[in-house]
Amino acid sequence: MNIVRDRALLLSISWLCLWLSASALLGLLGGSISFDISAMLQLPEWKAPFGYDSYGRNLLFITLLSSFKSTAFGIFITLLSCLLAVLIGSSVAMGPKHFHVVLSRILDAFLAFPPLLFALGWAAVRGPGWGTLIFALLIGSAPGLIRLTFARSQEILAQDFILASRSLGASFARIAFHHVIPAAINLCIVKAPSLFAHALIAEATLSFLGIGAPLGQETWGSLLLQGRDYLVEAPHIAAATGLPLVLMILALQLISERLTLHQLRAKKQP
Amino acid sequence: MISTAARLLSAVLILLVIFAATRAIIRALPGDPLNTLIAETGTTIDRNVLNRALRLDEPFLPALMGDLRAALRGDLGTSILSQRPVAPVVAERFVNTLILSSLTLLMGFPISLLLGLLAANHPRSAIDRICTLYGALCAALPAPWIGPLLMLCFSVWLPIFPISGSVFLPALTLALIFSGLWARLIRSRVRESLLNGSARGARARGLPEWRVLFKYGLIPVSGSLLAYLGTQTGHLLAGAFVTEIIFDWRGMGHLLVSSVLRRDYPVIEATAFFSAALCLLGNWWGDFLQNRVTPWKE
Repeated sequence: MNIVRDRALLLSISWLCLWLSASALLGLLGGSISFDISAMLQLPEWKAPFGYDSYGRNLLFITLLSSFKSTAFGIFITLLSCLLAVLIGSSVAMGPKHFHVVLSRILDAFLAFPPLLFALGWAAVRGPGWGTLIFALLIGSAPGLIRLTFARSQEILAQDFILASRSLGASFARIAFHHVIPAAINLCIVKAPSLFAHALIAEATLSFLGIGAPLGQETWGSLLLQGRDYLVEAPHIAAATGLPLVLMILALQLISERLTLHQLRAKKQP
Repeated sequence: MISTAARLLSAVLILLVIFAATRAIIRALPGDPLNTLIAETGTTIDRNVLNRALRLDEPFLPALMGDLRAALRGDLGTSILSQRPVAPVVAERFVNTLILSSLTLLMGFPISLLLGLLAANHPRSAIDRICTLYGALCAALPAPWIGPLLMLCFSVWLPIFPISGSVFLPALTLALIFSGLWARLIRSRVRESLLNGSARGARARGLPEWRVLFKYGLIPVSGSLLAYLGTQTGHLLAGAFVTEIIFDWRGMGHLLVSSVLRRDYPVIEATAFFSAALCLLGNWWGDFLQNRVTPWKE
């Protein structure tokens, strides 16, 4: 993978770094954003390249601040799913055979329904909030990833070199930590960017529907909702708040694709 | 024969489990369900009447049996907020969701078929790149962003469709989001069958290229493509739910989300059950087609 020669990849990574560092800087420094009713819904100008929102706040700053929450949340969910997938996938694959069927059936049950349906059911009991959002995003990303790591671990365990190392006296722990878990982690690294992209889309969608982030908390989804509400008076809100999100998802997809290609090539020429 | 009966039995059992799961939602409420419900909805209905209507005065299993018997008679309970029977409302909303999803398929599938077939037949050409780019772009469009933008373009700037109540814009949004995925899928499957099948022989016999593409590219994989479409039912339904909210199209998703937000439990139970059952039906249909069309895979 040559980052310097691959211009699309370079562009994607620089966009991600630029946006993430800007939003993290604003989010961590706790920048307060001034309300200015006179600037309400005003069009973009040089001081505010995205224009102003319905409270007269600088839309660029608000988008950066909201995206800090959304991306932090997305990263948290991605890491949690990867951790769960590595733990559950590899340990069940190495465990007794009848657990394999149980795990497969449980995963089937989760994968048979769209995550949105589980999220709505959960929200009906607990109401909207961060907990509901965590549950919904985990249901959306973890089962698919667990299935992949489980399959990969089984694949590794069926290889000849495992039999060879077993006959040489390798312990259970050695096979787990030297062969199975590294392979599962490798798989998770390749899948992580696209999982992160899915988490961002899911967060935006759920918060837009009103069953995600709690009221008063601004995330990408609630900004998109504001954009829809003021579509006729201030179309720049809808356009400007979503565009960085779409660019970020595209960048993540590209990185994911390049990682997959890179790994395929590495497998072909060891 | 026996396997069909076993499948049917397991299907009925799974539906029963889903029915029980949706009925358990209200019992899972924190604290005393009835108190929570009255506090959340702010309803003025008498406590005892509500207790009886929701069968919260009975233990879970007898209440479930009672609900099941009522449901088989076509009685799905009464909405707490509107005081209307749930069943006719759900049926009406279901038809609207069906219209939306069918129109989505009608709009999205021909485009993805055209793009996918052309890209499969011309590897590494401009059309192949367009197909890949289109697929990546469509997968990156969140419905709550592209929906309002389409509304802006086609109802505000160019007033072609009304701003709400029209089914075309939500269907266009959904078709845009899903057609990229479908096009990429058709492209990769058809290319495989063109490479591995008897397409080369057919070309050597002098068959016109479009016939080779259909007969030796598309037809051999059409079964697995249709099966895949079956497994997509759930995702299509979820997508329809989101676009219904964006465009205020009064379908089942609109009903489910608004009743979740307003805690109208009888409506939540009925819509959640029907949505889950629809997803399962889609999956079963996909499995059935897969087994019918490619029996050697078993």
